Amino acid sequence: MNKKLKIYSVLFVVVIIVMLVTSVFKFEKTSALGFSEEKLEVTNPPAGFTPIIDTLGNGTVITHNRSTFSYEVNVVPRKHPENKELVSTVRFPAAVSNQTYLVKMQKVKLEVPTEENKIGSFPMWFGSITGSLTLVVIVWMLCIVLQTISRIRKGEIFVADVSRNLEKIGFMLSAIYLIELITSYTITKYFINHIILAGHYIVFKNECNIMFLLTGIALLIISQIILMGKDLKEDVDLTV
Amino acid sequence: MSIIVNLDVMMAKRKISSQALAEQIGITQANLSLLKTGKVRAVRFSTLDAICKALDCQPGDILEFKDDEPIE
Repeated sequence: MNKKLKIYSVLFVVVIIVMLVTSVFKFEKTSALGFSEEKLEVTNPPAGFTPIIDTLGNGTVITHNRSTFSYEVNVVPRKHPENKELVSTVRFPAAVSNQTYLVKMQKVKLEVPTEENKIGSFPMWFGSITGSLTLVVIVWMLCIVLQTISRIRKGEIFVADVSRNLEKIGFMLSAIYLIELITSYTITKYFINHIILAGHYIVFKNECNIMFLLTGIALLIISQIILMGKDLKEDVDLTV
Repeated sequence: MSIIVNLDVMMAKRKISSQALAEQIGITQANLSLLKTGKVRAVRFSTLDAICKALDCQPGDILEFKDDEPIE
């Protein structure tokens, strides 16, 4: 087994084990708690009641008159507090007047203001650079794939060129994954520092598609196998 | 590779052309050329047998071992 094949095989096994055992390839970032002087604004419940009918386990039917109200969550971009705006509305059913409730937001969908004057220009230009880089890599990779397919169609499978091309494709797929990982991590960290929610933590989750990395490493392994095949073919071809 | 093929020397001694020898031993001229220049990886015994019959010689007349690495 040649040296490169050993290295790629070990790398493949390590990535799979790390992926299964840890959460290294998925990351969560939690923002700091919102400032105490900021308040979560809650609107008053609307007038009127909505009748709700409940059926208990023993078959008894009870009619309640409950009011429902919704509260509005305002997200304040940390660097631009003057640009506070409504980003989400959540309904809280079964509320009763003059009662104190603990509101637990399990899941809130936030629309992040991405205009430059609100969030800064960093996500835009950073995303553009990494997006362009990824596009260049993808186009280059497609050219190499087409080149490789054309050689294979001619019957030239176990040749050094095919092995080299597969190696290049493998490295490119791994590079795409790494670019995606760096972009996600950087943008997430940036948003954490720029978006706060009064009285709450925000958890940003990001998971990059690990299949790019695994497929890339698998292609590296295959390229070495093709190289071994080339040597075996030469032995046969150069036997008289 | 440390094995030297002296086929062209033997061919000159027996005054036989590449084309004639290739036809007699049943290989292509291209393969015979590779054999003469020492670019082949292996030789079958059947081919060696055919060469020795065609040139009326011993395997040692065609193949020579020269150690490339000096003895330490």
